[in-house]
Amino acid sequence: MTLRVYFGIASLAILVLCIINYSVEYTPEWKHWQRQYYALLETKIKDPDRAASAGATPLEFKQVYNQELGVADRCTICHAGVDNTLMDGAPNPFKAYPGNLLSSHAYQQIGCTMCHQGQGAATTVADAHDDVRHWDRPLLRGDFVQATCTKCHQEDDVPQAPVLSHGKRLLHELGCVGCHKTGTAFDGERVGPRLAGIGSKVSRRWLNRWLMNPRDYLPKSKMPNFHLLPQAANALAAYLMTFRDKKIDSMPAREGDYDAGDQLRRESYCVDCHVTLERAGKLVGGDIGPNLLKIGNKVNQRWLVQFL
Amino acid sequence: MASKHLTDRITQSQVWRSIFRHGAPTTPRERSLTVVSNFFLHIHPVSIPRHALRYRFTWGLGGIAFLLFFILVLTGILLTFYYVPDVHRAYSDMKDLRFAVPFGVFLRNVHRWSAHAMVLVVILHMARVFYTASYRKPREFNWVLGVGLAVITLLLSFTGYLLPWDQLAYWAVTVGTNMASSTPLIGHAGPFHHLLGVRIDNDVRFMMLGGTIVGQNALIRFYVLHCMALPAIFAIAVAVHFWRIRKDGGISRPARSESASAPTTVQFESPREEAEPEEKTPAGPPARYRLLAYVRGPTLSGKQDLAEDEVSVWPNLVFREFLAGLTVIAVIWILAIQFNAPLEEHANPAVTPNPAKAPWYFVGLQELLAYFDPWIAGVMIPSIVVFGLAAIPYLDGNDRGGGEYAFGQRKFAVTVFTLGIMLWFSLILVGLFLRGPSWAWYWPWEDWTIPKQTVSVTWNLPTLWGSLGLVVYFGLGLWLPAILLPEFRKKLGWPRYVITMVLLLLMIAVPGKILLRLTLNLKYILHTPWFNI
Repeated sequence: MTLRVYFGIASLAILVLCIINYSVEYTPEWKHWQRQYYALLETKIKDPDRAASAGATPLEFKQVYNQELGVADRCTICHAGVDNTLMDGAPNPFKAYPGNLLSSHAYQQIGCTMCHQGQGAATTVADAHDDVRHWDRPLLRGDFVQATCTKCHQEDDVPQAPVLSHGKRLLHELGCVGCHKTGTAFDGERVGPRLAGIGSKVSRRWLNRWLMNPRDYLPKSKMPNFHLLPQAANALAAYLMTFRDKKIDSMPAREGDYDAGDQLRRESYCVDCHVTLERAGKLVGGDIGPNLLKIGNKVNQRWLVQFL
Repeated sequence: MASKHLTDRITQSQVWRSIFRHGAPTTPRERSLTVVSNFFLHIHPVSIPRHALRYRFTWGLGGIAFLLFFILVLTGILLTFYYVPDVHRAYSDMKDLRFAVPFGVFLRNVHRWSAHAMVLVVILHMARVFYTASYRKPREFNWVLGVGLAVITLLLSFTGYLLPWDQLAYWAVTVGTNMASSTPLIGHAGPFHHLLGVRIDNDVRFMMLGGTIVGQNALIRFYVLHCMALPAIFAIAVAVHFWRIRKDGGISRPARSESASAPTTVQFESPREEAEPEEKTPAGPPARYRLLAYVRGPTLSGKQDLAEDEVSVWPNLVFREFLAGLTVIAVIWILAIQFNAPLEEHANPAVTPNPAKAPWYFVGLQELLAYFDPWIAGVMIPSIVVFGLAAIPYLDGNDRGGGEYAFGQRKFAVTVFTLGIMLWFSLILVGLFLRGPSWAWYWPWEDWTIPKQTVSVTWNLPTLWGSLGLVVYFGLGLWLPAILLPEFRKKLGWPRYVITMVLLLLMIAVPGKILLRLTLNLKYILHTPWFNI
């Protein structure tokens, strides 16, 4: 091949590459979505002049820049109707932000990825939404969207985030923080009752049984079954029984009147808070206080007198 | 015709003639003027021997390397418009280049692939110059300059690698600078560092990083080196490199005379005449010599007919260079459109990727780390390799086969060099394709999520046997060839012979010890309390 022919081919190749480059650069994915948005917007505006000018809005690169964090969120480049009430109920990505959250959460200041995560800097659908390799904060979908509310809303009950709130409550109620640090205000919270004086409260037999399987006595107990060997539970119980409350131990033992107690129980409406009866296989009573049906096996009479 | 009249009015105007000082280069005079009076073109001579145009001789590699450097400077300048070397924003700037900057992704890709291409082309250029023995006298120093340029190219690559501030960048530089901390005497983890009071906060690694960690100081330091200091040094060295080519007679070729076997020291057609005997004028007036002479009249003088095998540079050479340039640009362009430069997660000092592999041109070194201590694999071997390469012109005692691909006349040199290149590239291939997590051996079809045993039981030679072994190896290695090939030894002379053989023995020792390690689980040949080999 002569040099001139080669020169022609090489030059042509570079021209073609130039054209490819420019056409790729000037037809990005987001322009397609924005164009469709403005076309849709035009159909929703009643006034023909304003509709025409809306439909002819020039396509623009949009972003929300969070100055303090140096984070640029470019979601609105396709989700251009996020704060336009005309777009209520439109298909994604054109639809307005559902609900009333946007009015109280100024996305123009904090951006979108603060709550929704995802790769905010991206301008293509795949890079912003999908599981992007090497981006460790993927877009939150479904119930997981509520996860980030807790960044600011530290309380247990977060408005409009029922799944999150339920989760927080469960964390609290099930005593997870007893063993697991959560990095929240719950850490350091005492999950179980104080064991000081436990030897003056409970019976040795009850304590043994409790340590072998707490939920056998109290099904909704926070304490899990540690699968202790009998010798271990025995040893533990023996040790715990040495925790004594001197005041209770020094109380005189007194025989009480069973019938008077039964009548007092009825008149004091103990059943409002405690399960105190079993009638035809059903437990009768409230669940605010513990189930008292087997309390006799558990507690020491002196302790119960002192408690009451 | 009206158009010709208009053309004449333009091309005869003062503005035009002040820029384009002579006519279109169609006559020999105009062609000579074009080259000589243009700042850029006068890198070339006015005419060259026809052989210098031979594409299959040089493959244009040196010029391509220079063009790639130019492309890198251009794209690099554009990139610095958008990149700030601050650890809090460097990574977002890379994302912005990809998504927000017009042609940003193309710009970055061109820069990245040109950098890889330049390292490859520089290596190929060095090989070409070696295989054509174009380093022979009087071009020895230019070869040394070339080795220096290759080192600067690798340093440019290394410093640039940190700038994206992603996991790849952070950990590659961590590995590289930690190797530096194993330097003997001046690295805080190297042998004998106690002798100079070297600690982690004053050793050579500290000097590279500006601190004890890879952090903001390291980033700004590498940025300045990558964008200002190293390109400036490179540009100056390249200018001297080109200058030396011109002064040493342009592209090399075999000596014209048929007496190739006669012991001549000058192998090339060099315009440098043998020095005239100095005139002894003890009491004459002070005098000076001139390279050029003042001539009254137009710029050029001394018209000469071109010899049979000479061609004018314009357009023959210039056109070919332009074509090579177009090809390189087209290839880089296609690569830049097709393949994106990698960007992994934001740099995270708490998470080490496993494996954390260096780029291909350094992964051979990283592979060596599996067989040698860091002070050897990371410091001694590269230093000895660079020294050995630079010393080649001074160690080459053969005066045949210069200026052409004449492997038959240079069997020893070609064999040793090719062996070295193959060793190096084997290490690269192993490191790239056969190493997985924890640097364990994984065949390409094996699953990386299945862990492999990485710690094996190794043993060391007892110190006495090790020292003895080394003495025997080098002793025999020096003595036997002198006995068996006395002409070889005589031709080189003792100093060159010893240096050549020591370098050759060291080169063979590397795969030798690798084999011992792989087969016998032998870890150290020489095991002392202060250092191990």
